[in-house]
Amino acid sequence: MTTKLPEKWIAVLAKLPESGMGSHHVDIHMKSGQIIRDVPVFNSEDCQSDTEFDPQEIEEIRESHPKK
Amino acid sequence: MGYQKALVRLNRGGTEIGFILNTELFVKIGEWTSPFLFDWDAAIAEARKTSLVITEFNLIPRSLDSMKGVRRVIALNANATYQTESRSFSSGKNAGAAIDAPIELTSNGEVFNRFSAYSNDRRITLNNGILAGTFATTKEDAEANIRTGADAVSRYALENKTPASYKYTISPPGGTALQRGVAQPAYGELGGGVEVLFVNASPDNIVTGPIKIPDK
Repeated sequence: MTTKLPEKWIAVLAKLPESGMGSHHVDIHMKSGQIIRDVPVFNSEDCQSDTEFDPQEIEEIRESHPKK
Repeated sequence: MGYQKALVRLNRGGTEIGFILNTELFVKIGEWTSPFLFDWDAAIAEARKTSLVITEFNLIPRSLDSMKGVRRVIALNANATYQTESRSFSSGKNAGAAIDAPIELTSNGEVFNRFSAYSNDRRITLNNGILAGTFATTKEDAEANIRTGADAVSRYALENKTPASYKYTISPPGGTALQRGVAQPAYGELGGGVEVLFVNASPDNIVTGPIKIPDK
């Protein structure tokens, strides 16, 4: 399913290098402590995750595949 | 190595095609096998006997595809402005992903394209620059291989299967840092296209577009 990120998190992804043309892979850390790992995000805004989550409850987003 | 093919105009009128050796001696194509050429001093002495003078010349570039074993060839004009590059760069067996490549600098006039499924691509800034860590491809690779957004998905192994039908053009200043490689097979796609990764954020006003190409 696709989950739209709020502008706050889009701005965070803008600072991360892409994984490929048009996409990032990120770990999404929720305020609850849950971590949704290796989530593809298209155009810095469309999260592709089988795990349903509330984007307002995101604590932090980190790059899944840091640049070597 | 050591010669240039050229079309020259002579002081008596008329033109000839031949080779310029060591940037000082012109030899017509028909005289290429002259025995003088095996003795450089004799060849120069023979040339001094003629009253013919080259008044103008145009170099005839060698076909880029004829340069076997050369990984990448860039053609520049007299102002060192980028003209074109060999396509064989993308077919080398050892060509790896851009992210694993060393950082290099762009030439003056080099142009790139970025294909996106979005008309509001968020890697393009409001002032028409690009963000650090943005992928693209060379204009040459795009022109030779991409007709549709689906082509772009396949050639650049894009994870997003929505056709990348919005084509942006990126014209960075010479000396822009990037990594250059080949899109590796991924996400069920073959890859194989030239991919570049811009290391730093760019200046403003280097991006135009997008133009919409067919989806399929």
